[in-house]
Order: sequence, then structure tokens, then C-alpha cells
Amino acid sequence: MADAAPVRRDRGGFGSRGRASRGRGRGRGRGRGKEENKEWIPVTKLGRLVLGGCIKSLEEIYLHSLPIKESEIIDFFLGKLLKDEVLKIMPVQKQTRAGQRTRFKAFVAIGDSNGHIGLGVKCSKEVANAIRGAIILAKLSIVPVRRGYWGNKIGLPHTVPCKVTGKCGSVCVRLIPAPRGTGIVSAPIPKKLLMMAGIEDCYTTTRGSTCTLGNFAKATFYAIAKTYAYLSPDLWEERPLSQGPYEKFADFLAKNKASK
Amino acid sequence: MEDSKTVSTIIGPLNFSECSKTSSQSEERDVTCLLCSKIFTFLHEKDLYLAHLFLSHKIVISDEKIIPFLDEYLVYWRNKFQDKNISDPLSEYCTTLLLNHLPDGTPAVNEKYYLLSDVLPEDYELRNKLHQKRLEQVVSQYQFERSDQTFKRECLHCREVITPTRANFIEHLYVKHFVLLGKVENLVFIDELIDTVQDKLDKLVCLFCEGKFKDRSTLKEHMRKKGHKRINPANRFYDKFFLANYKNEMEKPGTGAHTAKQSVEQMMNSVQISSTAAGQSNSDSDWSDWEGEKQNLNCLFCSINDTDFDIIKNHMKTSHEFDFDVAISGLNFYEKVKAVNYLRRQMHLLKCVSCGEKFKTIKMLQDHLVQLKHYGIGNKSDWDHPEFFFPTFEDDSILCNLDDPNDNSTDDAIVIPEEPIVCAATQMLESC
Repeated sequence: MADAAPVRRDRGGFGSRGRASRGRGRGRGRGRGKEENKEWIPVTKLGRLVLGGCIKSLEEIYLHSLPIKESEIIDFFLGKLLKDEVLKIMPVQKQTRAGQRTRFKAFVAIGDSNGHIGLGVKCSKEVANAIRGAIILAKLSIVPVRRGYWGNKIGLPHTVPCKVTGKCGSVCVRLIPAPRGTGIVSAPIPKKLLMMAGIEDCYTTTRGSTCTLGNFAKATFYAIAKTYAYLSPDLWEERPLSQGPYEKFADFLAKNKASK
Repeated sequence: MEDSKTVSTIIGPLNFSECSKTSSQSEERDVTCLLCSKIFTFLHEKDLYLAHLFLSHKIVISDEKIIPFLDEYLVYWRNKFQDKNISDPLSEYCTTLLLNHLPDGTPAVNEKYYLLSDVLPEDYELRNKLHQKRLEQVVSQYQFERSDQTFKRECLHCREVITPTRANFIEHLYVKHFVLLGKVENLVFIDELIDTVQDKLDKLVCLFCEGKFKDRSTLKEHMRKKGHKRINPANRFYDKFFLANYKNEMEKPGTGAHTAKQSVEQMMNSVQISSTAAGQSNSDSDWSDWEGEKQNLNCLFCSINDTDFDIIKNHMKTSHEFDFDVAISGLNFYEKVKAVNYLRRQMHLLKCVSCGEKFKTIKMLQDHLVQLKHYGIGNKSDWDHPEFFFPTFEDDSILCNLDDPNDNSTDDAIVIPEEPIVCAATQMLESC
């Protein structure tokens, strides 16, 4: 059994930090790295449509409110633009017959600083697995962020379009539009999330026990997601109902299914 | 406000709190003996302390090597032992052993020795708590090292300076020089690890077998030929650099990651997991167990701070005769923001809020405010300017408590339509 330990450490490849090491040479022929760029074989209909290039952007998926079950779909559209940040890794313990069982819980926020934000949490026996799992869950939870202007419409949108509120547990977070240059006026956790969402200026108001940082982050996330839920007057115009991608590309899906 | 024309009114970024990073790891601490009043400095006099305990008081602490924060453990037990209510703490808390010799080795008959171990539930709880604290400390260090972008170090073998993360450094060592220190995701205290490795190379000692060599080129040849360009897993000194070992700290040292005992434990744990599958998935995605600290709020007129806004408001009512709610009633959110920022700025510039008189010290300003009862938010014409939209203090938490999240009246909700958003990624796809 003593060999088990060295074999585990000797194996090459740098696991979850693949984004940094992808593309680097594997040494002068001696390195035994595992192949990073595995071919993605989609298992959902949406995945097959995305890989086949039928869907042009992530926004089309949001328009029809289709659930995204594969994180590779998000990677396909946003890929390198996404930056993840581990908010917290904490050990959690559970009492079992054989003593204490320690696992690690990772809270991860992901965003491209330009209109997309996601939050994920995962618990696992190993820290690296927890981080990896949390990143995948964060990608699956990505929502679009609507930004607007304060006052005059010059340049690009920089703040929330209207006052939005999010609530999780006892924590209530309200985001309020701010003029350009204000920056984000809030506690550190919402500040990180708002920056990753691409909101440059915002006032916040919070209520409840903000020391439960998990609920605080989730409440901010819900508030940011509400920006597209709010039906503002400029969206009142009636538009014809468009066909969903499953109907539009039904023959593409049938063709692919038959080829398996 | 004549001086605003000649003097720039822009004040640089202000913060209430200065973060001071204190590393508690290497703090030397004085710890008194459990029973007498002899003092030892931890950490470097730890062995002397334990020797004194054995020789003078015949007390032994079981498994002291795996107790993290031994000084805190001893301080806790000293408090318990010195408690006047308990007549004989030794027999109360320790298990008594009878041995046939004195501490210095001379034979005797039925000498009493006392063992302080985790058989006692209180001791077990304490050790658990310390172990948990250690784990949290290690994990936060791991988190820091993982995301820190300010790392910069010259490679051990070549002259290249590696930056910005430690992951790049470890990877460079593997890819370019085939030195495998470990998978980055398993390592912690990486700086110390690299220092140790560098030290060994400088002393011309092999990393794996600890053999000494004449010069650098012989050492390099040896390490290359024998495959010694890695850490010896049997060498227990390097255990502290691998994250997995901290999880297993409660067990006796010497059990690796895959001993028979542990595999039995894992099987038992997995039985537990399957029986509480629903419970496990609940705690898996539970967001509410991450506890942090509440933000500090600073009084508008003095340096009193507290985490509860109601306490600060009461303080301002009693100490400064200033009712915050009354003063800002009738203003909309943006006006409240401007008023607070204006007040903060005036206080920072040591000017009276109401009359604008400038003072030399904060004490003189506060005396003036008390005497003439000039506490207030000033005139609307003073603060109703767009420059006061920007927060005077970057971490001013009072600004985060001005609106009522439950109030859904949208008095100033005008949404200006923006252009349809085109995802940057698809723009790239379309262009190529």
C-alpha cells in the first residue's frame, strides 16, 4: 500500500488548473500528461444543437427559457471570457460512527464582467474536487444581466436599469441605479459579484443578518437576475411568438440521432 | 465657500479601516505551567515545558505531537486546573497510571502518573475544535495561494522569473525541468516548500535520498539518473505541505492516505452516506453555513463604530443630539446619499456642517458643534450638487442602510432603453 502514495503524486498533468496549462508543450517527450482537450459529446438536445452550430448565441437560449444542463454549452459561448473566483473554501464536519468526517465546501462565483453572472456551491472530500464541482454548478446557473443608464444615454450601459431587490434567508439586498463614476457602494461580497456581472456603478441597501455571507451572496445574485425579469415600458411592445430551437431544428436533431 | 475656488476640493480615496495582516503563526507566546507558576515561551520551549510537566508533576499529555495550537490547549487546561472549585483536578481530568519508577529513572513502588488524553469527552471536544481551527487556517492559506497574482520568484534551475501565480511556478518546474513537487491543487504553504527545496539544492543535498554531493552538476546528474527529482513520499517532513494530511490529523501519525484502517473507515462512512443521501444533498447546496463578519458602521460625527445601525443612531441621538431619521425624512434616496456624503466631507475637512467655520482639531470642531448645537445635515443648497453622489469614504456602510428594501414604491424608476446586447463571443464567431 505504500506505493499508492507515490503513484498518486507522480502522475503528471495539472488537473483543474487546465486553463493555464492548456496549449503548453508536454516537455521533451518524457512528460506523461493526461489529454486536456477531450472531445465534447453532448448528451442533451440543446447540447447537440449548440455543437452543431444551430444556436448562434447564449441569448437565444435565454430567450426561450431553455434549461441548460451541460456546462460545456456555456464554455462554447463564453469560454475564455469567464473568470471564476473562489469566494470561500470551508471545512465542514459530520459526526459518524467512525469519528468525524471532514469535507470541504467551496463557494464559487463566475462571470465575464460583461453581462453574465453565476454562483455555485459544492461539497467534497477533496478541495480540488469541491472547487471543480462548484465551478461547473456556477456555470450552469449563469444568468444574463441587464444594464441601463442613469440620466443621460451616453456611452455604454453602466448601472442597473431600475431598483431591484433579491432575498435569500433573512438577507434582503436592493440594488439602486447610480450615476457614472460612483463605483459600487456596498459590502465586499456584493461588490465582487456586481463587478463580475459587469455593473460599474450601483448603490446597495441591505437588511437582515448579513453575516451569513452565503445568503448575502445568493440574495445579491437574485437581485442581479431580477434586472431582466422586470418588464419595463420599453419592452411592452408586442412581438410575434417565435419558434423555439427544438422545433426550428427538428430535422437536424432527427438526423443526428439517426447517425448514432 | 471662497476657498473652493483656490484650493482643490478633490480629496483622495478615503477608507475607514486599514487592513492589517497579522500572521499569528509565528507569534511567540508565554505559557504558564498547568500546576505551578513556571513560565515557558512557546514555541521553541515546548519540549522544555513537556519535560517539566513529566519530571516535576508526573503529567503526560497523550498524542501531544498531533495537537494543533498546543499553547491554546495548555492555556485551557491551566484555567481548568486552577479552578478553585475542584479539589483534585488531576484525578478529575486525568487517568492515573501506576508505574514502578520515578521520572528520572530510579526504581520506586507504585508511583502515580497522570495521563491527559481524549478519553475524557471534554478533552476530545477541545482537540476537535483546535483541529477544526487548524483546518480552517490551512484552507484559507490554500485559498490565498491559489488566487494570489503577486507571486514572483526566480526558478531554481534556470534564470527565468516566474510570475504571477504559484501554480505557474510549480508547473514550470515540472514542464521545463521535470522536478515534480506535487499537483498544485494538493499543495499548501508553497513558499516554504520552495524555500526548503532551494535550500537543499544550495547545500548540494539530493531532494529524494538526502545524499550529499560534491558539486551542482554531479547532484543534477544523480537526480536525473535515479529519478530523484521528486519528493520522497516516505519522508514525513514534507507531510505539512500536502492538504490531504491536515484532514487526517486527528489520527495517529504514520497512517498514510490509504491504510487498512482508513479504508474500513471509508467503507463505514460510505454506508452512512448511502443511508442519509437526502440529508447529504441538502447540506451540499446549503448556502447558510458560511458565517462571516458584519460590516462596521461609523458614527457621522465621531469615531465610534458598531455593527448595528440602530445602536449608532441611538448613539447619535444621545451623544450628539442628532436624530438621523428625523433629519433625513422627506428626502428621496439620492438626496439622502448626497446629504451623508456632504456631512462626511465636512467632518473630514474639520468644517462645521451648519456654518462652515473651519477648525484646527477634531476636538475644537466637536466643542463648537456641541455649544452652538450645529449638529445637522446642513442646508439643501450646500449638498444638492452632483459631486456628492460619489461616496466620500469608499467603505462607508451608512450609505448601504439608507433605503428600505421592502418598500416597493418606484418613485424614480425610469428605465432608459439600451441597445440590444450582442454577446461578445458571438461577435467573434461571426467575424471569423
